[in-house]
Amino acid sequence: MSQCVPSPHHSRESLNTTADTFADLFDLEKRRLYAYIYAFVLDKAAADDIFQETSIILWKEFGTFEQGTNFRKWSNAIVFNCVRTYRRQQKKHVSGLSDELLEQLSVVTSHQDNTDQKWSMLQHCVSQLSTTAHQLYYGFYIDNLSAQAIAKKTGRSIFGIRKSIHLLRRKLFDCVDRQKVEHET
Amino acid sequence: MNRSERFNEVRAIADDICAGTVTQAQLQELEGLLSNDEQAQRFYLDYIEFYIHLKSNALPKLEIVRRKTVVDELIVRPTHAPNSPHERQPYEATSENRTASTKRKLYLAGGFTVLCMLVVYLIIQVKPLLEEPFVGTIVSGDLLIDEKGNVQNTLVFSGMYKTERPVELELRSGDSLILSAYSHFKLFNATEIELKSGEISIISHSEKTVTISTIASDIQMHSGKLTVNVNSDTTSVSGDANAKIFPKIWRPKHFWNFDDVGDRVMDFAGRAVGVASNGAQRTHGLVGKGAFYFDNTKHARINVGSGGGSAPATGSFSVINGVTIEALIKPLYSGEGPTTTRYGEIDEIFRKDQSDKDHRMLLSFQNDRNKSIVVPAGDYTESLSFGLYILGQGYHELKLPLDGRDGRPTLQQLKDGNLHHVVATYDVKSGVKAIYIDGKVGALYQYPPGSKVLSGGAGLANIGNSPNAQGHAAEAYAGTIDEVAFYDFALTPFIVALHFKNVLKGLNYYGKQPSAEALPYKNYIDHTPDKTLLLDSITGLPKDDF
Repeated sequence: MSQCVPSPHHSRESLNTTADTFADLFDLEKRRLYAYIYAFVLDKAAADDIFQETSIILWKEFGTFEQGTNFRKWSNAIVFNCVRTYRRQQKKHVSGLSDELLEQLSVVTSHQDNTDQKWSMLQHCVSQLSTTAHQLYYGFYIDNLSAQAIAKKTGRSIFGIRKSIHLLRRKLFDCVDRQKVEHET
Repeated sequence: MNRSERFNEVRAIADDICAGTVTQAQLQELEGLLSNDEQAQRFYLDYIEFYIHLKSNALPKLEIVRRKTVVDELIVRPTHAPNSPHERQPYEATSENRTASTKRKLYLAGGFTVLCMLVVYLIIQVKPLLEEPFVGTIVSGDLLIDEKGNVQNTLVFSGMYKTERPVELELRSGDSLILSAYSHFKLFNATEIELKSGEISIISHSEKTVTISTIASDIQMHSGKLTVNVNSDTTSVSGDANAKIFPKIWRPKHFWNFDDVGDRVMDFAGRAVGVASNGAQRTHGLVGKGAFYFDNTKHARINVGSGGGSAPATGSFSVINGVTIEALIKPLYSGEGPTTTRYGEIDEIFRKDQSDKDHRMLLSFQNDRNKSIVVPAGDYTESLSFGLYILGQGYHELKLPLDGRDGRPTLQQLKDGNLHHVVATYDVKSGVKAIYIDGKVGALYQYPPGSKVLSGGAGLANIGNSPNAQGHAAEAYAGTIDEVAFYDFALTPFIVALHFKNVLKGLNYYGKQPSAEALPYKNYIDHTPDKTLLLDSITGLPKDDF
């Protein structure tokens, strides 16, 4: 479903700049925002719905965002409000984490560091993978093949592939963590 | 112990959440593991974010689309005469059995009608002129309506029109608009016009700002006469008016101006934040506050990452229409030639590759012999080299010999202690590859027009070194580098010269005071009165003036 929302806070003259600025800031943060939503609702369909709703609210409220301040913190607050609203509306159907834990997690995200550098480090870590691991990385994360499709392609069991994917993710995560610590020290 | 070992149970459940196989029992366990443990919560969020970042199709397919519609489309028209008295009015029902509910509905409908009439009356009274729809009047000639246009007698309303002969309009602002034969344009209002093809001249009488939009640029003027001509290849702007050209594409993908402080090197146009090794130290800026001094050791490098690339033609270093690498330098390059191998001293200004092998992209000082990848081939010694992988051609290096001939500088002249501006460009549409020094082109090579570039990918990009040369100093840069910019299109010769002029004034490339702030999203170039500017049809950047 597409939704069209005019910005209520800007004259037409400044609309191009505002829209461009929003698009760029949103583009930088969208994966992180989606990740937070997913981490709270644990369901892809619900996360997709909330993400779309959040995107629209961010745009509608963008007039209240002060240029030069922290878009990340500003958008975090809106994301959590959207998740809270969703959980309130879907109370009967929501499963997963409690409201208390959600509040605790929202506090943690407000203290999260700038993570841009992390993704540069990830590329370095990916470049150090073995050929087999790189093929798995490419198939699962870039070509978006399912574990089952990779199992069929490689002749391995689906459980084996799932285990390899978990190991690969863990290896890359640890590598990025390690790099981050090295750079910080 | 690393975090994934420390929070192994959280990680195992998070893996199942990512796989979509988590159970309610696991979620209860997760609740217990995360409650009141900030470190575990941080790990959980980081791990899920990591999964979302890795998985290229994790996000729902959404796009942000900006729609530009005709301004002043809201028109208040007189209402039609009331319905015929013979037609039964809904509120004239005669049934004796009318229910109380129906009565209430009728009262509500009546009240709503009165309210609407009141709102319309207030709009008309409060804003009697703002919503007037017509844009101008025809002084001479005829307009053909193309789309949603409207001409009543001589009054012209918002919409799309064509001309077959010259047409003159007087806009409501009082300005004159003259259209050549076979022009195709859209009138938004008296101050905003989009020219799709043909020619428009504006003669300003009101001194109001008028904007003429073309496919690749917006042109603003507020006095004098300005003519804009759009044909299939080029847009030209001429006249005696001061005007501002707002190109649609001008901003680099990455811009490291080194005016920030701290252990990270900020990218003021994109998100390729750099990490400086200890052979690259902050120093006084060639323009602005800061620059980097590179000490010619293996640690002389700033790693700016892969731009998020995961395979060739992905990531922010991947380009489609062309590429530009731009920098200010104060080199100390030795210029030593080869002794035992074909390769002499190499000082990399910028290089992107690592595991991408032939798909590399570089701008560097070189002094080598008999390299088959040099195109056009020749006998070069000290040179500036621009390497790029072009589809159908392979990896080629263009050389700008530092020989002091044909206006080119010698290496010694580049080492005079002053800043020098180096720019390497490749334009896919024209197939022209070029290297500029201090605003002037010094080397050119023409490929078949349309030849595309293969770039991007998982390999790293370095400023001041090669990402492949981690264990030795063979390609380390010596000297100062400042204001490194990477574009996914080719800067035009006009813009390269303008950037150099701006730098000599102590400004950044874009004519602004250097600062540790993100580049704006809109920028303009001044049109000088009585000059004709030719604008590029893809970027909208001026190509030439005369």
